[in-house]
Amino acid sequence: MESSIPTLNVTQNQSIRFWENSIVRRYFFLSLLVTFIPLVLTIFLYDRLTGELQQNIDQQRNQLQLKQVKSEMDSMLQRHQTALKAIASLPDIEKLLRKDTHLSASTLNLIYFDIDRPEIYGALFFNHQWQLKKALPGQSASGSPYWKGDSFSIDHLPKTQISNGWLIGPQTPVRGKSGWYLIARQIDDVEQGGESPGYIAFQVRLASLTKALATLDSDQGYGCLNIVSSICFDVLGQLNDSTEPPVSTTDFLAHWQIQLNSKTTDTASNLTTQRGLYLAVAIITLLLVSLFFTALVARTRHRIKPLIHGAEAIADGDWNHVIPSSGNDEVTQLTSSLNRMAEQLKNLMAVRIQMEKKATQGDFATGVAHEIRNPLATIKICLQSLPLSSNNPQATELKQLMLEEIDRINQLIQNLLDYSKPLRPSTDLIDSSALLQRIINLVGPMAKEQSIALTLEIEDQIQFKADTEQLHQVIMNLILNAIEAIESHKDGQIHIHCYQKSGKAVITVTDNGPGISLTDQKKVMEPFFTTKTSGTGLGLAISARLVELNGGQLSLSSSAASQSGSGTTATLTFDV
Amino acid sequence: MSRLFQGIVCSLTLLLSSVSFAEEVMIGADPAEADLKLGCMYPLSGSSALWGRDAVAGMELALADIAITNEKAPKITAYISDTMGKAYRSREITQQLLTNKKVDALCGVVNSAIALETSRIAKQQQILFLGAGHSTSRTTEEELHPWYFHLNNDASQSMMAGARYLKELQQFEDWKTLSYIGPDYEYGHQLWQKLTDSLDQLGVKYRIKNEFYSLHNENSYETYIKAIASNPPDILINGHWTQDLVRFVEQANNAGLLEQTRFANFDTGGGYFALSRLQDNLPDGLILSARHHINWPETEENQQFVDRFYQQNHRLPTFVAQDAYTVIIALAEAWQQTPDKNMASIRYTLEGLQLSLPEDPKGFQSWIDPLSHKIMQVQAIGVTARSKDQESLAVQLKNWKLYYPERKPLNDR
Repeated sequence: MESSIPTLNVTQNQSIRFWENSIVRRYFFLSLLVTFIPLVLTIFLYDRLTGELQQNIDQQRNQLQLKQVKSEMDSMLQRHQTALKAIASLPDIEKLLRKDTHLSASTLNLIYFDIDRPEIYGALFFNHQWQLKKALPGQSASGSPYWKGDSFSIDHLPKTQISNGWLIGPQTPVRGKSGWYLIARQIDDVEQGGESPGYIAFQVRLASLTKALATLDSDQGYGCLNIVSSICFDVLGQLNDSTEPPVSTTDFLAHWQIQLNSKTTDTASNLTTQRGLYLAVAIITLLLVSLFFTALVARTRHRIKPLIHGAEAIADGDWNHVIPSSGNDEVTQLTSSLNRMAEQLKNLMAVRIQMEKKATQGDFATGVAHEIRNPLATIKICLQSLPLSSNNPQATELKQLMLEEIDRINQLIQNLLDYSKPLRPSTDLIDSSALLQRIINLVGPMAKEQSIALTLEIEDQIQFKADTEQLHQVIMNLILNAIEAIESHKDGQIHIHCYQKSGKAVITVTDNGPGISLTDQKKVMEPFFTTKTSGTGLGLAISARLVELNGGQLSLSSSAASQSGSGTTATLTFDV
Repeated sequence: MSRLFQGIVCSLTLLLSSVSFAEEVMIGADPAEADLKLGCMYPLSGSSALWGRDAVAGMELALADIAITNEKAPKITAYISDTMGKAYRSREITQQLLTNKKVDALCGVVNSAIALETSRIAKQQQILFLGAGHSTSRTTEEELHPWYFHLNNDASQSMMAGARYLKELQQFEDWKTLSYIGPDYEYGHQLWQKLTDSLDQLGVKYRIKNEFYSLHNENSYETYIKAIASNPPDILINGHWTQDLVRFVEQANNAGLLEQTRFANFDTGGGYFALSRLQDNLPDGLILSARHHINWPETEENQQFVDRFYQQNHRLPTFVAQDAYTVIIALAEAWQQTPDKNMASIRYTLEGLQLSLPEDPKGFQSWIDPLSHKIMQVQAIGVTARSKDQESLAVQLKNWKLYYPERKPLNDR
């Protein structure tokens, strides 16, 4: 029979190699690309845009700070210029330039009052050729030219013209002395109103001017006061020998420039470190994403692999293969569906086999019946025509016996035909109560004869569609089988029960016979199977076939395997 | 022009008014009975007032001492005028003391530049000026004149002692580099100049890393401290004094600079003022010295001076108290030794005068060098250490090293 199973179009197993033909691989690379490209673009744009933004902010801030420094320096010079103007305008101030003439104490005190500031070393008076004629010390005066010591000259110092005066210097710091500069103006000749007799100057601590550069001091840069493009003074008024070009500059005076210099080494190092850090973070992120996706892919493959194997097994005809299932996701649902599909396929194939088996049996039975019945009819006619002597009773008995056997063979053939090619049912609405009562009436005497209690219980008055005669035949067959099963048992009981359950009509025939073993239960519906010494083994098979043709179901249940004498129940179920 | 001139006149009026109303203290004998009238200038108000008040208290102690110990001691009247630490006031005050009070001698001045100016006036007016409180050595070198005497160890003396200390230290610690920070005026410049001169004179090998000069009364030393810390020397020489010293040490200590380098101040750092103001901000191991110490010399005279000062003033004396004390003692002693009591003669008597002062260790007498007109005293240098010897001080100087002045024969000079 197996040869009749249609061959499934099963292709040979394909090996799914991750690096060659895996859809997971494609999704893996696609996901990586989708992640990588935006990430790389974001890093690039962030780096570029923030760099430009920072640069713009830095430039604006630098210019603002430079203006602030310039303003502070201007303010400092302005203060000193105002004081100088006041002194230069004193009526007899020019006397300080003349030898052996003394200024009044009050005028001198006024000058001392003006120079009595920590940042002013003293007031210097020059003639019109810039030769020093007088030096008045302030509280911070030190050494020459106020007291005896080194010679004092300003010839080597650059002179820068400013409004109403000059800025001379600066003098760079030397051992034991700070750097300084002079802020000078002409002395007014009040009495003569003519040419100026000379100049007055304040000798000012250079650091008091460069102190304003502190605004520019930070971790990234430092301020520097550049003079005549050659020397640069830091916030403390000390010479700075850095050769780095300034980041930003602003002019203070002619040839005087305020510079913002970068602490290049630190800044470059910081920037490199920061960029390296960003890059490292980006690479680590990409690696982590890759690892994550790889793990995800491995996990997905781990879930899908049993599905592939299961599908291949089913394709190979192994319908009993069950794909292990775990979790509660799409893959689990797919696994369940595949398992259910295999089960359905298995049932479908079983039904198909059964149908083909029945068709074969029907063809065989028809053929056999046709080939046997004709010669058997001839034999029967011949036998009936055979003259018999009345004084030979033995021959008469043999003839009668032969005729009975021929009838039995005919009946057997009829049963076989009924099973193989049953009549198409003629369905009608059946009153179950009337049908069952009629059957009880027919088999009741036989049961009584064998001391079997036959009981009928009709719970519901049910009507359903079926072929009355065929159903009658089935129920009769079930009751007769039950009587035969009880046969040797005392206190035999057969109970027929009719009821409605879940929209179905149910008729059960239950006996208290020996029951059916578990092994036999599987075969009892098959044709020609019988546990009796007589009988064709077609009764239950025909009954099952007829019930099936009428749209019902026949099932047998028996607990004989575990409990002796618990009997068998045959259950008929029809749609109401 | 007229508006400007009016402004100047107003300013001048205010200026003169402020001088007229300046604080003045008179101590000692009644001026009518005085053998000597002394006019001194110290700050009696403002941030430096402590120095002036200590000077007054020191002179009071000295006046009491000479009255007790010597019946022939002169009756001295001392006028102490408040300079407020301003040069223009000092000039005016000097003139007033000479003109109005008709003082026989001038004294005082803590600011070196003012001292130089006052010394010039003394030279012009030919009046004795007993310098006490300032440190510049220019008054006894380039600007020396017969009427000036310096009665406390000056920059050249304290720095020579410092140089000798550093030379000895080099044998143990092998220091090689120095940096300097001090105030940007005469005193600060002089200290560094004198120290490097002395080191060179002693043949000490060293390299200078940096030198910085800060503005007087600077509030923040952050920029200087950063600059020093960026290239720290083996030893940082400091020339600050008074509040500048206190602020610098506080900020340097907080910034951790004093852990990077050895700190040394040879002129004023070891005085009571700095120790009392800094207290726990003074780490152990700083090298300090001053013109007078409350715990050195450990003599009865010094202990009595400190105790009596404390009893009268409820505070311990700064070195200016000792400087001013010396002025009275020196003047009284010179007056007694001068037969004609004439100031010109007293001036000669001061040259070579020997004095016993509280700050003299046992067996030593201070003397005034006849050529340089400097008082010659012992300079003691110590190292800071935690101490419970004095209740009001958490840190005192210990491990003293003493540097005696060299008495050179006259024909060697």
